[in-house]
Amino acid sequence: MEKEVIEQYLKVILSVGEGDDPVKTNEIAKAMHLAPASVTESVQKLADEGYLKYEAYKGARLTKKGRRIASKVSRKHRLLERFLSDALGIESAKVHKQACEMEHTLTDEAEIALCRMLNHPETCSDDHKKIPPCNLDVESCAECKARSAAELKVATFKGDLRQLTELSKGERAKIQFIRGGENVVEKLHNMGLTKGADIQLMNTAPFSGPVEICVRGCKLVLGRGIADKIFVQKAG
Amino acid sequence: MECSQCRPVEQKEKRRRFRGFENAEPVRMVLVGNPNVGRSVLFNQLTGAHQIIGNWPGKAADVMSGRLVFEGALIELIDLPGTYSLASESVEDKKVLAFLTGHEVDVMINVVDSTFLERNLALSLELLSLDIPTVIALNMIDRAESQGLTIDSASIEKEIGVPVVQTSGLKGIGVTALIRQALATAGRNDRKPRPMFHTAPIERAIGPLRDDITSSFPASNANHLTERLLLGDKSAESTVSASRPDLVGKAAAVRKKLEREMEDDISSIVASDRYALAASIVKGSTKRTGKDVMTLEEKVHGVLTHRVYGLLCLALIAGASFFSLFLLGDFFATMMVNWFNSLHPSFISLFGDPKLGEFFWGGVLGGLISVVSIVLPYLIPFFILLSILEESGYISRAAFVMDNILHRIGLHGKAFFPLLLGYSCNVPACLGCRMLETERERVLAIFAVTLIPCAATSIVVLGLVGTYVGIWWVIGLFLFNLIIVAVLTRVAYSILPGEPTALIMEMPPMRKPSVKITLKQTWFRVKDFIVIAVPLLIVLGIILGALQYLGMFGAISELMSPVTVWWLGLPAFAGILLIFGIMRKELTLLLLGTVAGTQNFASVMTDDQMIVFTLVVMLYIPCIATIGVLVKEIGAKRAAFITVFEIGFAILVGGIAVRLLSLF
Repeated sequence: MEKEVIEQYLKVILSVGEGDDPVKTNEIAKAMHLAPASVTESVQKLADEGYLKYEAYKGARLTKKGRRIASKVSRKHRLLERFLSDALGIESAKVHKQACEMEHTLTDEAEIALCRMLNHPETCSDDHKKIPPCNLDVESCAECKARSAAELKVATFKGDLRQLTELSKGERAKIQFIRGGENVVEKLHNMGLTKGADIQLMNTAPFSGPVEICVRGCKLVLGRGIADKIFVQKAG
Repeated sequence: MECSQCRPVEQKEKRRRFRGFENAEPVRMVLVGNPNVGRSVLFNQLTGAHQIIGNWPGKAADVMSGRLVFEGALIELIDLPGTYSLASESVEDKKVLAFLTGHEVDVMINVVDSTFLERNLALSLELLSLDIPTVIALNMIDRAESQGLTIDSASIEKEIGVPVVQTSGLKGIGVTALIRQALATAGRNDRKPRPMFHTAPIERAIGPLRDDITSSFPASNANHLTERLLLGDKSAESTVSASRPDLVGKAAAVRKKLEREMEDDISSIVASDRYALAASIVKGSTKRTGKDVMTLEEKVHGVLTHRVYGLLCLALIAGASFFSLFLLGDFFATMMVNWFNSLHPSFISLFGDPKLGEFFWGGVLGGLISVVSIVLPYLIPFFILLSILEESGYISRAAFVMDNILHRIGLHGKAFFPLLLGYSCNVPACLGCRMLETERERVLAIFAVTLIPCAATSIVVLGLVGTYVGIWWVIGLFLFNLIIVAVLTRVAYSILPGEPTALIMEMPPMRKPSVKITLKQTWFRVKDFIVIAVPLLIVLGIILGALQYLGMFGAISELMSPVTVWWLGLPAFAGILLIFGIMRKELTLLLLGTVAGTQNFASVMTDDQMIVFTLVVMLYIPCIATIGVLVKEIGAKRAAFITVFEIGFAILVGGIAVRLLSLF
């Protein structure tokens, strides 16, 4: 199946099912203006590829994987709607169709830039549905606003990146970047947690408590919240 | 090797020691360094002061100063809070920078932990950019040697351009040499310029900017100003924008260029740069001999922070500390109070007038009894225990294991021991909260501690509710109290101004606690307490004694009856008991017999009244000694607020409780 078609299906299932409810194939067919028979066939294919779980008579339910794609696409869709109506002044009856076509080609980078440019809108323009949150690890839009463009670039960094907390005990890695409030990041830099520095996960506390790390020969304890925002690349 | 010049200055000796120096201008030396590198040990040894020493970062949260005479020179020694960098935005770090740039400093002693040389030297490099005459103390050199590290100080000296002295504050090694070197360096600006401040790529990028600054601001410190501008520091920008506004833009351009080239944030670039230089200095000057084997210390550390064994150890250590303090403390306190009370008849008979005798007994001796029955059984063992836990580094391990649970109510993991030990006595528990790093964390932990029922309060709960109503109600009251502690602390956490700090804590190495430091520490803390509490207890004792002498108890109880009788549904005599409880919580129970005229309390109070009375005693006010400590630790305003709030809260909860109880 084509990427565009997959995305379209997943987006519709997310929006009709309001997230968790199973969606019947004829509901999908109605929303997409397609014949029920062809929808059933496609849904079956999507289920085979792990985007959703399908049971006859009950309907389709998104898997974690499917839901991630669906919310990403509908986020792009709704941001585009806002952009078309707010920034370009196109009348709102026309924006939905246009956005439907643009959403599949919009890059993640452009999506973030759009969100920032539109000043972090919460709902879309035509039916005021909530725009799904971005997948940047920020605690609030204010935090995103405060960050520099350089940091946003690293936010879309691709590679074998993982959170510090994903390392297993005793594993070593190199620090790639740290997200978080300016003061915390600065403090970590000053304590030697800079880009490229070797870091070793020594221990994690019970009850998903803090982690103990070793950087530049010093042992430090970091709260889980901070440790989750330190991204590392495994050595070797 | 004890240095005879630097022995603690005793009060009596002081005048003699400083004779002839009344008008002398002292040489001002400033101790600067990372947290937990032994600045306070050096400071105490040199000035004879008693700064709290422990094995955790953040003890010397304030600027401390003291004087000493060394080989005929008067020295003013200043200890600044520990810092990781001058560029940081934290309150403590800003204090350090403000002091160093805002005061005349003759010489800076940069205390460095030889066992963590790389990170420590990174700060040294930053400090050197301030162009203050500097001596580096390679402290804890004995520890480094025992770890198999050999450090060539001459090579560091050559690289860094300032004198380096190897010291061990704890063992007194090299301290005399350090001060001698500092005096020789003081006020001298003739030292060789440092070979390098930055690694080559950074140097190339910022060189032109620095040259511009050097020529436009010859009076100021070009290296430091350049770095601040590069980091986008507002105060540096306003400094240059008066005469050279273009430099702000130039600095921004350099910053952008660097950030783009290195794909990194400027604060990370600058810090990386320093660390890279520090690492190269360390590499060229230290040799590690011996194999990298797992030391005993590491094994112990592994067990103490293990997800299962760590919790078990914590439960064992906490349980043992708690019960030994609670049970032994209570045992000795009761013994002592009983002994005092046995003296009561003969003391009264000393005076012709029994009323006058009661006045002196209650007023003067009452205060004394309170002091003795807090200090000996609770304070001394508490402080010895706390000191051992701190010095060994265990507190930080416990914080590691407990942090997440305490975090849910807004407290730092390190607050665990003060909170737990608050069940024995609130006073040392509040003092123990000093170990928390930021003021906000201290205030929160202290507030939580004041809500915890101490041993004296527990006596009332057990003696009244436990004896007359039933053990389940006792358990219920303690659980209810725990919920209140959690809820109120969480509320305070969200309304207290200031930013909550996420946990970033250094894990200090495990150390064997020294008997000398433990005892010294305990003595200084007990002394602190006596100075605060004795006057308060005696004054309150005299007031209460005078009221009794004048026969005012009835009138006071009458005055309080709208609250005690109408709102709380208690017998009228409860008012005077609650007033006495401010002195010592257990007095509310001990005096009940006297005030009510019977030892069978069931005949004067119903079950409900006992429960409500006990609940109010648990919550209503920190005792006078705790209030005194609160004033010292968090200021009069906050202390007053906590006191008034807790009285109001206790009355509110008590009133609601009596109405709920009457429904059943």
